[in-house]
Parts: sequence; C-alpha cells; structure tokens
Amino acid sequence: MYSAEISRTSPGCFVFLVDQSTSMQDQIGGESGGRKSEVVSDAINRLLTELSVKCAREEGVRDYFHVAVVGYGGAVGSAFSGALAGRDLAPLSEVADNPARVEDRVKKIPDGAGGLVETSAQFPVWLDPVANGGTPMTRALHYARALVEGWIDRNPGGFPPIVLNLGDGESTDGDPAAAATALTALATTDGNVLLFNLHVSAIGGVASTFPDSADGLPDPHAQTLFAMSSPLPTHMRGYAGELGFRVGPAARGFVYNADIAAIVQFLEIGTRATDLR
Amino acid sequence: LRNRRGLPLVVDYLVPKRASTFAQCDDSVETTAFSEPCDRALHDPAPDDLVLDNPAPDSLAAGRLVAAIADGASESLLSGAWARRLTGNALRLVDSSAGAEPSPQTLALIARHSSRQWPDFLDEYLAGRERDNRPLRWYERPGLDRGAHATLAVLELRRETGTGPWSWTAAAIGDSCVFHVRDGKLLAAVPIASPEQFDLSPDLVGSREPDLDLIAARTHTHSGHCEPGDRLYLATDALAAWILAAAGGGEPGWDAELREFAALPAPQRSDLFAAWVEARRVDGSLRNDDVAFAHLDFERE
Repeated sequence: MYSAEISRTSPGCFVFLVDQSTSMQDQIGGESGGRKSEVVSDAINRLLTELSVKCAREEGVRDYFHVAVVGYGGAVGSAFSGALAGRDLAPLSEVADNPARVEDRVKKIPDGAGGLVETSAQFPVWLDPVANGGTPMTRALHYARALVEGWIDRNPGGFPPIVLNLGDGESTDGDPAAAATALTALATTDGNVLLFNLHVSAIGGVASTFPDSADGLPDPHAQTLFAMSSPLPTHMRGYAGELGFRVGPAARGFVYNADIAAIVQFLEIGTRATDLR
Repeated sequence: LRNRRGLPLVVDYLVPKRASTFAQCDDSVETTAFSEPCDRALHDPAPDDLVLDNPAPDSLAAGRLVAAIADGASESLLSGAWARRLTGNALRLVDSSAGAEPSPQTLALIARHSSRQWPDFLDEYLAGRERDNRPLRWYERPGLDRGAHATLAVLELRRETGTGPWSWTAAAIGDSCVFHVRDGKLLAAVPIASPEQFDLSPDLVGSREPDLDLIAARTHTHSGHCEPGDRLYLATDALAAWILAAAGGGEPGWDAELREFAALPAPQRSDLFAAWVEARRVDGSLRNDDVAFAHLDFERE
C-alpha cells in the first residue's frame, strides 16, 4: 500500500484546504508568533514552492502532481488568484508558471563558519492572507471529497490523493469528523485517501509534529483534528525519521503550531538529490 | 561491434522512462567498443552535451575495453548531462595511455575532473537559455545551486596477450551495477547484491565541490576473470534490481532474455529491447525508470 508510482503518466493529487475565517486574524500562540492567516498562507506558498522545485527539470516543472487550493471562510472554493483564479485541480506545471507574483525576500543561510548570512531569495506567492466569515470546515471537506472522488475515477490505481487541511480547527458548520471519515473512506487500489492537518492555534503550548497521540495537545480543537488525521504510511514515517523527526509507529499526519513543509520530502518521484555525508 | 573470434560481443541500450524523450533521459552508458554513438542517436537528436567522441574505436582488438554507466538523480537539474559527463570522463581517464584501473581513487579523479569542467558547462547552458529566450525560472535556481548528482559504475576489461584470458575490474558508487554471470548464475554483483538494497537515496557523485575522500570511501570494487560463455552486465538501478530478483529467484532463461536481441541490426535491436522493457514494466517486474544497459558476451569457441 502507498507504493504506487508517482510520475507524469501516473500523477499524484494534492488538495490543500485553507481556513480563511475571521478567527484566522488572531495571533498564533507560542514563540513563532504571527497572524494565523499569515502562517497558513505562508505555509501553502512554501509547500507549492517546494513541490515545484522538487519536480523542476530543464524543460520546466513536470506534472508529477495535480494541485488544488481550496479556501473556506466567507465562501468555499478555489483560492488561487491570478491566472489560476477559479481553478480546482491544476497540473503542477501550470501552478508553478502562474504564481500571483514572485517576491524577493531576505533569508538567512549558514555561512559555513557556524554563523548565518543574509541572502536574497525568490518567494512566489499564490495565496495572500484572508480572514473573513465563518469556518465551514465540514463543507470544505465535502468539497475536497468531490474533487478527490473525480480524481480517483480517473486514476483508480494511482497513489492515493493527499488532502492537507490548514487552519485553527474551529469549525462553525458542525462536527467535521463525519465528513473527514467519508473523505478518507475513498481509496485507490493503492490505499485510502490521506488527510493531514496543520493546526494553528492561539493557545500556544508545546509545538508538535507528527505525534502518535493527542495527549498533551493543549487546544481542544487539536484533539478533533488529530483524530481526523490519517496515520503516516510506513515509508513516510521512515523519511520523517531520516529528516530528524521523532515519529512513533502510530504517528499521524498532524502538526500543531509548527512547520509542515517536510511532507513534500515524503513524496517519492525518483532518486533524491543529496550530497554524500 | 560483432563478436570476432576471441573477442566479446558488446551491445548497449538506453531506454527512457515512459513519457520521457532520449533528451530527457537521466541515464548514460558508454563503451570504448563503439566507433559510433550507440543506437539512441538513431531515434532522437543528441543533446548538445552528449559525449560522442569515444576515444578508441577498436580497443577490444588491442585487448582492452572500458565501459561506464551512470544514472542522474531525478530530483536534480541537468543530472542527465552530469551523468553523460561522468561516463565520458570515465572512458577518457581510464582508457588513456596512462589510464588508471577502476578504483576508489580513480572515481574520485573522475569526479574532480568533471566538477571542474561543470562551471563552464553551466555558463554555456545559461547563455544558451538566454539566446533561446528561455531565461531561468524561479523554480530552477534552487536546483542549480544544489548542483547535479549521479551514480557511476566503471568497468575495465583487459587481457595481457592476444589470446589469453580476459580479466575485469569494476568500481561503482551508488546503485548502478556491474554483474558477472556464468551459466545463468551471478558470480559477482557490484556494488549491490540484493534487490531489497535499492532505495531512493543511493550514494551520488555531486557536481559541486565533491568530497573526494568520501567518494573513495563509498566506492565498491571487484575484479574477476572471464571464461568462454561468461557475461558481464552493466545496468542502472531499475534493471539491476530486476536482474538480482530474476537471478535470485532462479528464473530459467532470465539471462537469455536480456541478450535475445543482440544479433539484430541496430534500430530493430533497440526497438525490441525497449519493447521488452515496457513489457516488464507492464507485468510489474521492472520499475518505470530510465534504463541503461550494456552486456559483454564471451562466446564459447
């Protein structure tokens, strides 16, 4: 299970669900800070960047994935802006070639002598922070289910679609658990749909990445989102371990107030480019 | 090259993964046995960087042959060009008059030489992109900064006298493999001996300031002698895994399957081998990946 090839002839499917409700204008708790809406839009932009760079070759970005970005707040629907506005699942090459804009940002990188040095890096932006309306998470999960169901019809033997939900978990249209169960009940011949959650919370407390239990999660919504999250498939747990995360055998695709960009590294499209160590 | 009396038959193949062209293929295979580029040129225009000037058109008759195989990493940019550079330089360095045997130090030399050439290649590449009005996109820069990466396996075959026995030496880093086969059984497998050992993170030679000590430390070597009827195979990871599984499973005839088309004219031979590869992909026994393969057959008199 979860071993199907991801290639141009057998692409993967990624659906991002982004909480754009009013509560997302609050500050995230803990040391990292920032508004929740900024944290999730940055996370989406970074994930799309990492995915595009991972699949980039000389002729352009290869369509190893098709990607949807769905916002939920005042409305539920495509959150792409610019040339992709209104699109649901789009081939990754189109996503990579059509960010709303590309910003030059300063980032700090190791200077090789134990310190950090500032350098300029290009940061493409597909999604700006939005905080407006309620939190129709249940509708968003149904929306994702419709997208994924169509995908599976067209790709019944492919790698199971991955749905990544990013938000504060404060659903205003009922308990999302049943919608999550219906979503993850869908399957290709290679396994069930994977639902992962990035929870941004104002409560703070200890950040957590791929925990194997909800014990110690300080926000009651975190318990709900953890319970909805799929267990990490075996090979993903292995990569998480290689990347330095402490993951137990029951680790779930759930992150609390921390970075989730590592999941892009879990995806297998071919030989990884790493220097000898 | 047809097998003349006492000389091994040498055949090589390159098959891109599904939906890829030859120009997008990240694998490379070269031998000094060919005076012309191998069959791929018949199907697809050669990329500009393809090394075509094989140095010794008929080195076999002189009792020597060098073969090299490399596999560029899927997640690195220009990795096919880097793989071709590594195999080209392997042939030049090992086959030159002062040529060293395949060894950890030789692979480190090949890496150093290739990485020193790489900045000029990159400058030319970037200038070409500008000329073609295809400036770099934002998503290419991180990959170019990280450099290109590839595995490498090098084989030298030699005999000291005109009719004496052939001996071979191989050095390999990563998961591109060299096999010595006798009567359908593997006598040697370098550097990987089991299909379970393949993963997505093999040791790779990088284009950016490669650590030569580490390359030497991670290089595996082996040598042996060939008898009439023996075979030497070089294969990149997907086919290498198939070979190890087939040989390990004792499947009758697996060995003959690989050499079935060797006697045919070049275009037909390549097409039939590509069809065989596709059939194995369909039946699930071969992963959908680029395939580079060379076989050296020491026929019985």
